Amino acid sequence: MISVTKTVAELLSLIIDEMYGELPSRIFSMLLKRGRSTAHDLEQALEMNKSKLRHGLAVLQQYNLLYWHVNAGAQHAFYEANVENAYNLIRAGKILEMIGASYGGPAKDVMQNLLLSGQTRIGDLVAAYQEKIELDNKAKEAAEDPSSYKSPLPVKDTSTLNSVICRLVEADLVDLVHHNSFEPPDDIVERAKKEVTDKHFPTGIRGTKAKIEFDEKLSERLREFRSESKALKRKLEQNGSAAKRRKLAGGVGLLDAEMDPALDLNQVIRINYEKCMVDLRNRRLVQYAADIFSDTTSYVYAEVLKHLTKDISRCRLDPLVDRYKEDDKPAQLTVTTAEILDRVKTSLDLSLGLGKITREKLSRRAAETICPYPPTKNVIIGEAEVQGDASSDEEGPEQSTDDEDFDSDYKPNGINGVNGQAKVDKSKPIVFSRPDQLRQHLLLLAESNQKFVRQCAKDEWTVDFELVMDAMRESEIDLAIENTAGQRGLRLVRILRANGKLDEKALPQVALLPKNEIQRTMHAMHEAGFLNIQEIPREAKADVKKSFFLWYTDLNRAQQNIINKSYKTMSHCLQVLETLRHKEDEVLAHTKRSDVKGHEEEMLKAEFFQRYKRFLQCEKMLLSQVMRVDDLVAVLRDF
Amino acid sequence: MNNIRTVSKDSVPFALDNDIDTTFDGKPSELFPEYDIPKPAPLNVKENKQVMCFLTFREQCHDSPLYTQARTWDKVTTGAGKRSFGQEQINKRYMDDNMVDPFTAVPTYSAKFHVPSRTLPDLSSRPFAKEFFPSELHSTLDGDTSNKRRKVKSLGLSKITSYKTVEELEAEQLASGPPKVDEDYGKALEILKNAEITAEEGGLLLPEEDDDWVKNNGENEDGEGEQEEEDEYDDESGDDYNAEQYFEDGDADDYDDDGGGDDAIF
Repeated sequence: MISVTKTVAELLSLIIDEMYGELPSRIFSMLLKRGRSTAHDLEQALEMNKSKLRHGLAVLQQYNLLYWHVNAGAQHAFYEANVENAYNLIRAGKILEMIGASYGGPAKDVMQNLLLSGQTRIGDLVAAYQEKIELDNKAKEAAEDPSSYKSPLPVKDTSTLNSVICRLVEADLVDLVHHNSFEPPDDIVERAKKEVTDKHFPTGIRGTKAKIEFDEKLSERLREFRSESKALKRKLEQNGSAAKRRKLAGGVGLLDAEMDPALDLNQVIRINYEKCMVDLRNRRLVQYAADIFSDTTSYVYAEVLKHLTKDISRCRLDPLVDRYKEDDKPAQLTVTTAEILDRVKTSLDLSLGLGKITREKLSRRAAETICPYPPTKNVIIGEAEVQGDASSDEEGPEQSTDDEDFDSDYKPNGINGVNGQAKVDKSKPIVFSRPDQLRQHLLLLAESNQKFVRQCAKDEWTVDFELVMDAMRESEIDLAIENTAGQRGLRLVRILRANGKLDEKALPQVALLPKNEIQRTMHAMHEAGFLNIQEIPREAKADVKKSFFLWYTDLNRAQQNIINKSYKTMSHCLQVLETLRHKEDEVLAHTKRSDVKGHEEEMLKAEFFQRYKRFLQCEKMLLSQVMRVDDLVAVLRDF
Repeated sequence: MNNIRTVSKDSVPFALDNDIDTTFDGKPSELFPEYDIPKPAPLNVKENKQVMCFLTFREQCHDSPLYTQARTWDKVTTGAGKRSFGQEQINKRYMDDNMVDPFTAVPTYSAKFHVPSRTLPDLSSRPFAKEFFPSELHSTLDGDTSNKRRKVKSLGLSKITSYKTVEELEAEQLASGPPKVDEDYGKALEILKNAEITAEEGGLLLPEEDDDWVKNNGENEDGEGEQEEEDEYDDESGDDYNAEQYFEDGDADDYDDDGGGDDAIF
């Protein structure tokens, strides 16, 4: 969820300005400023003429940037800004790149056109492709040598298009638009509440038990609302998913395109950002694993994630919607070692990225502990629960470990160097089978502090996303702290994390650092918002000299701080880009000309050409900076 | 006074310790202190791809009929960060209707190649799924119904497939080498001709706005691009100065005489 602050509002209007132009951006920022309003309100607030405003609203609606609601019998609609979708616009590049990499060129092309045209009727999309394909065919006929003519189109006929759309719908990346799609989310909740009350609690809700029951009924109803957009996906799945059909056809993928059912051309589809975010999170996690372990391990992890997230449709669960009764909680998603082994490419050498160690040095039982339940989540430090956090670094998740005794052949430190020389038999290297190697990679992932995976049953694996993401968030924040206050600052923060709140005077003893140096670093970090200080008077008369000053660190607050700064940075980048554009106005006016476009080098004066090149370079750098900052925001806020 | 202020020990809570230096430097800080500008790491392959995808996508967005360009030349000098009082003042930042820059509004030959910026999205050119729009917008979606030549509405996939990067530009430059003047000139002419053709075919339809200079010059009843050009030279309008004609007549000759080359074509 994005809370709309002034910074966010500014950023969003800049983003829309960058992508869709000035008119929608002006209207959108006014909508953010005024909240829900009618066209007439906006007209007055913006002092804009009627037709212009309506054009702008239509564009915003087409690009899924609005919610609207018409009261029964009323003429005028109320509009509200769709903040999430607007923010996701800067992720367009990432999403397209991700789809290109994991679903192939045609899928990317279709998705790009879908993004480009907003919500689209399938029929219109097909017609547009048809048009383009015909043009291409004509070009082919006109070509000197039709046989060697290479079509530049990624999608070469409409049946391919059909199957590509089917694939995207099955992957949940594309959603069906339905009559509730543009209802403001709050309205939907209110409506569901009313319906549930009318239906099940006509006499009102009394007592805690009824309250719980009401909540469950409510989330059930909300889930029904949510599943409407998945109607197409369900329909396709009834038909058997592509993977299943491929299996039935004996592994031949050729028949795919013809076997897909023809889609109803009247249906309207649009991109589903939530699922895209899940896929982007997978990639980020794989990257994280690669940073910590090795590439090989991260490939294995990628397969685990790919398998597990097939049915996960959003990164964060909505507490209101995803509340289940005890008995019908969705089952924990798991993947078996064999399944992973099937998917890992055979070209991948699994023996890489694994160290060798003598048998005595490792405890098989400890490594292969099975934790059937997710470890209890550590409460991030709150005002009162200092102690809860204190244990987070040392112990924590291993509570479910049943027995702590180790294998008999495990000797913790080796006795007097007897085990000191690693006895890897050099003449006969130990050869592990492929499944064994895979298991070792998985165990490596499970054993790490970040808890990448968890073995929930023998040879069954699962991922506790919240835990991994918490670890990742912490590491991102650590990085930010290190950049502002250096290694020493980071060490101090870690000391605070382990100890909870610490008195200013006690800190030098714990940290073993001179007092004034500590003070300097602490103040720098306080200024940056990573630390907070609390004053506790010793007696009723609050005397500054006698008060305690307690330092503490608050992960949530630091996170909010960083996110806020990131928004500002992104806004700044976009503003700089705008200024650059203004500066290079005369050059850009030339490059936009129809005769110059595409022939910049021949047509532009040398000086202009140089300036143009410089501009492009700056533009690219600025936008890539925006994307990098957004990576951070994604980790801290969305994943 | 030597610019040093001493702070009394008791006045600040954190300066209670004796070993902290309590003399503050009261000098004004340097105006432009040395600053170590952090440099971002170069893009890796994936990031590069992402940025390219984004740029291409943005370029396609700008090409779409729903884009309202109108980059305001006033925004930076008078607007943006500056404080404003009231909506009227904010509106002034934007180039609203009927604002014409007196310096560029004079028609020139090369204006022919300028892609006109749009202030209103062109909704009539593409289909919409109307059931998902509030009914009050339906009439807007139909577009200008007075427009006589209503084309078949189509989504029209963007023709743009890439966005030129500096690297590509440089690679091109290297490949072609320093172009000879003659070659360059010939090429330029050819391109010019092509561009003219596309303009005539209607690839470059000029906007139907009041500040449109072609329309002001002559009548534009039937709106056909080709017709338009011919009509203009009937000179019924009695304009003393007809920019179009001025250049059109001497088109070929001009270039033949003017061996100087490429600067003239701007």
